[in-house]
Amino acid sequence: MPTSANRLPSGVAPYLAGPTLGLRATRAEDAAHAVHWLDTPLPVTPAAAAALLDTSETVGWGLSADLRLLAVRLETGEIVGSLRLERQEDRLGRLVTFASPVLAPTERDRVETGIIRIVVPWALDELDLMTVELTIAADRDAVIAAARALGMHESVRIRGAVNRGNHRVDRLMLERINPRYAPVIDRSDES
Amino acid sequence: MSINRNIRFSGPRVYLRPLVEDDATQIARSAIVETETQFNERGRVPTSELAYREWIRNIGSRPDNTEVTFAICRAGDDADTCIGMTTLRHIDHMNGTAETGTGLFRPAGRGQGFGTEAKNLLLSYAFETLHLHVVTAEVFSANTRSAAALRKQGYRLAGRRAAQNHRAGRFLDGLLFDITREDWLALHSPVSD
Repeated sequence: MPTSANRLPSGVAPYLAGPTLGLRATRAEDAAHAVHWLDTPLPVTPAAAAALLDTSETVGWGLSADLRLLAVRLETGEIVGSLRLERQEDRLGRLVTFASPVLAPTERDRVETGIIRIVVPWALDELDLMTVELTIAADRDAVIAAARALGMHESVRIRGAVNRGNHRVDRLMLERINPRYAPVIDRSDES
Repeated sequence: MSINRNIRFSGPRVYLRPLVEDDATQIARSAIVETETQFNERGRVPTSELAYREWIRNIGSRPDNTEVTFAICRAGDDADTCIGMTTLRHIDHMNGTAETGTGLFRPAGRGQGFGTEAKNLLLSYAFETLHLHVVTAEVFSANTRSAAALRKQGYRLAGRRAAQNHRAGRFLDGLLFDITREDWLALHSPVSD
């Protein structure tokens, strides 16, 4: 993993860089490339993306409850996806990963896998979150395997919640409890 | 019953209608009269009626149609008083999913089936009008009454999420339930609008 900020694309911190991808904060010019990072199935114009950045990205010092980071290739700085970390009460984190729809499916899996490998340890350690949760379709085998390797387990399965057109798959929530906080979470009613 | 009441769905004992601004009074009052603490994720907090009036005014102005809230009223109540609310939120039309939430404002009105009847009307709307595939509901693990009501209504436990609520020095899990359209149709006959 690169350790010098000088060898990383502009804006990527060493602590948010993996072998091939890094995460960085948004910039105004990212609005022109929103198709590659905005996690919505509907197309968004650059003007609408600029307006979104103007309203959602103007809370400073990392205090926004909804943290948005863009995933870029370390070699070129090309935007290939994004992460939204939704923080609830500053102690629970929900990950929304997104890979550019123009990438091939296997490459999209690699991007989202790369994102969670970077962010899960950082969220538990440096952000000190009690839990980190990833919601994902049950047929995303590669990303699920990477999440399990990071210590995440299946906490919820919603039946048939993902529409694949000619069939449905379940939606999973995968969860990792921060070991620091496991002793204070009351699960005495769990059967 | 007056046709001016803007009723959307009727059951034997309750009906559902869109919220009106004056319902804000009852909503604000509910935080004052509430005696049970396990329903509210942030505790009982008096909130200005002004906030609820603003919220009701903004309903319908959302461009993405991802939330629908109905007022629950007692059948035969000439005053058309809102006694609770029932909501479909996070509606995902592409995947056919949504989350439900139902609450009656006064503790004295609970346990008599009004909430269940209102929820049944909402689920009928979700599955038979919106043609959703599955809806979910989440309650805190200490809220055994709501969990029992969901099970009785046909929801199944889909899982539990750690530390969703904090009460009396403990972090408690959230229990997430789901019910599919198939489940619903197996339990209920279609309700005509």
